[in-house]
Amino acid sequence: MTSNIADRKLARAQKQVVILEQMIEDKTRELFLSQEDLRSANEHFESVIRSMQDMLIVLKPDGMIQSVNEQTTSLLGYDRDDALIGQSINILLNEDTCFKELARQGGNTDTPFSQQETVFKNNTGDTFPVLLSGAPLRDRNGTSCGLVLLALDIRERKVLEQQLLQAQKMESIGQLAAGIAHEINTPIQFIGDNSRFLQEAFSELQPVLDNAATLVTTTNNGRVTANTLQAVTDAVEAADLSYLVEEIPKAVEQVLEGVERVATIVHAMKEFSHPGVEGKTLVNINSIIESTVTVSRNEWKYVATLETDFASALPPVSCFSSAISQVVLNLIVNAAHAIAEVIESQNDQMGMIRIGTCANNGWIEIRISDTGSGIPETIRNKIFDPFFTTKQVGKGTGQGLALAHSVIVEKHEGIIDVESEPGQGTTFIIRLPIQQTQHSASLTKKS
Amino acid sequence: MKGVVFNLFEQFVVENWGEEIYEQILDETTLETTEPFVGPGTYPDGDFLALVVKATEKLNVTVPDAVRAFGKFCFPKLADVFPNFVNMHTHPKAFLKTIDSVIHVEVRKLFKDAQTPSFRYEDPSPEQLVLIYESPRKFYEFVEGLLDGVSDYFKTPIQHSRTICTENGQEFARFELTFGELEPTHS
Ligand code: HEM
Repeated sequence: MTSNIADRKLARAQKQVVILEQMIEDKTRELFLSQEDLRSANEHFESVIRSMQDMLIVLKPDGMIQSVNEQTTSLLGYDRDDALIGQSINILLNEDTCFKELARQGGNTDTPFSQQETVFKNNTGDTFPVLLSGAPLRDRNGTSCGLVLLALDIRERKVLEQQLLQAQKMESIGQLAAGIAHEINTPIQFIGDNSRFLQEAFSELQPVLDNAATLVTTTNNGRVTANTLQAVTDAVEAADLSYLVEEIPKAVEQVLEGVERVATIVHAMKEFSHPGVEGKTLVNINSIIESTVTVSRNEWKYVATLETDFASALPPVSCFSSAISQVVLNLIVNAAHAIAEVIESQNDQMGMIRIGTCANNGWIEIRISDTGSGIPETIRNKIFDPFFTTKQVGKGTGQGLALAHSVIVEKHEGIIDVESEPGQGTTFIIRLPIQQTQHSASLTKKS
Repeated sequence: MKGVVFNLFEQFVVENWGEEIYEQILDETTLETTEPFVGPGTYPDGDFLALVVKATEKLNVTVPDAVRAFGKFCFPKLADVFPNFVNMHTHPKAFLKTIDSVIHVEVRKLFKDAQTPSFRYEDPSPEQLVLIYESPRKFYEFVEGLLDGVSDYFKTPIQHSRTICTENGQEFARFELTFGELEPTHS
């Protein structure tokens, strides 16, 4: 039995070896196949990343570049990616968008940031605008082990944005032109009327002047007669001199007033349609609003009275003045339309548009309110969306408030808000920072 | 059930009752598996139970006693094969707390198709531990045997009591453990 057991155990052991060998072979094959899978998955990812049009940059927790895709290397003007790998991300950023700031925004906090406007520096030190998004890179256990940055080159978009703004401006000017012509026509007309009166008055004065001249000459050479004196008296009577003396200065004053009115409109028109210098300039918000109110007068004067309440000592604000005046125009025109709707539907009398400015706590505030129909609660959160409009087809493109939002929020780091009471009216509140904070200045705009 | 367990069972029978008895058990049991068991293989649970039942018949012991003894036998052997899991602990409590989150996790990586049970823990006081064991196999005596093995291995008495509970139709066992003093190594 003992040898029998030994034989059985040996036979079992031999079989076990065969089975185990088979298992090892299977495992080896499995390993090979999964390595192949891994390699092709890796290749797939690499080719996806390579073909991405955005710049992808992976940072280590200390801000050193761990990897970049080809687009990053080529857009930044480097010829090999290892020129960037191992360098600090700060070589791409300018001083105030340093890595510390990025880390604050995404790396060290749990909140990723998205689509922040900033600039990248290429290998020759030139900068260009990018939209930067970032999210902490996490390992399997969820601990942050770096930062993934995705940057979109927005040079072309910036140019298009500028062109779009300009196109909107031109469109507004086109639409305002008829109204402005009308506005100019009124003073021109009474300048004309008064000038014609002055012309007539002068021709009526002519005989008085002629007779007076004759009187002077005859008096001088001692040949003055009663006839000569009578002729002067007759001429004065015929001309109704007392009437002319009273009316002529009034007419002159009206002509001058008219000329001034035309000059104001022309000046406002010039200020409003100014294509805008590149970049921001220090401007007086009150004067921008004043010009916009002037050029748009014909749009509101039939439906509303417009009251302004400007803070007198408003500090100048650094802004794109052309864009701000466009926003104010859009809001005035909207206000006029809202009031017109009420007048049409309820046969109501003239409404009221109020525009006020004030400065507080580092902000400049512009409030534009109307006595129109108000904005229903249900659509209040949609009004700043592009293409959202409640106006009839052909009346509004739905770009007005979207533009206002992008100009105020994106270009100026400001705030645009709306308060509305259906049936009572609407107030748009714009706040522009007088001085930009360190953080917003670094990560949001550099145009 | 993994082949390792079958092989440990073979060792258990051979070391206690001799090779001949094991060969007899093998001959007299009807098994689904026709080949010899190898450690990494996976075999029907029924084959394992059939072997255990046949053994208890032959040796005239009860199934629970046999399974408990097998558990106690297994622990030092497992600890031998995987010293890293055991070495880093001096007290059984800390060690036992790693079964679910470390040991059986590694086991599932090493052995394809391994079906390890689930353990949850309650820690009412420093010298106590509650082990909540849940498995479709319901190897309660096996757990008890392993605990005795652990106690011997760490030279620390472990008193344990078992309560079977059901929740939402799921059966599980609560093992309430009380650890004694560390036994001195030299007497
Ligand atoms: C070095 C330590 C350990 C190792 C390497 C280990 C390994 C294993 C392996 C390989 C299995 C078989 C799984 C299968 O066949 O699918 C298993 C099952 C099992 N283990 Fe462990 N184990 C260890 C410690 C423990 C301890 C300390 C306990 C409990 C106190 C435990 C409780 C169990 C139970 C009850 C089963 C049976 C399966 C079930 O109930 O569903 N193990 N273990």
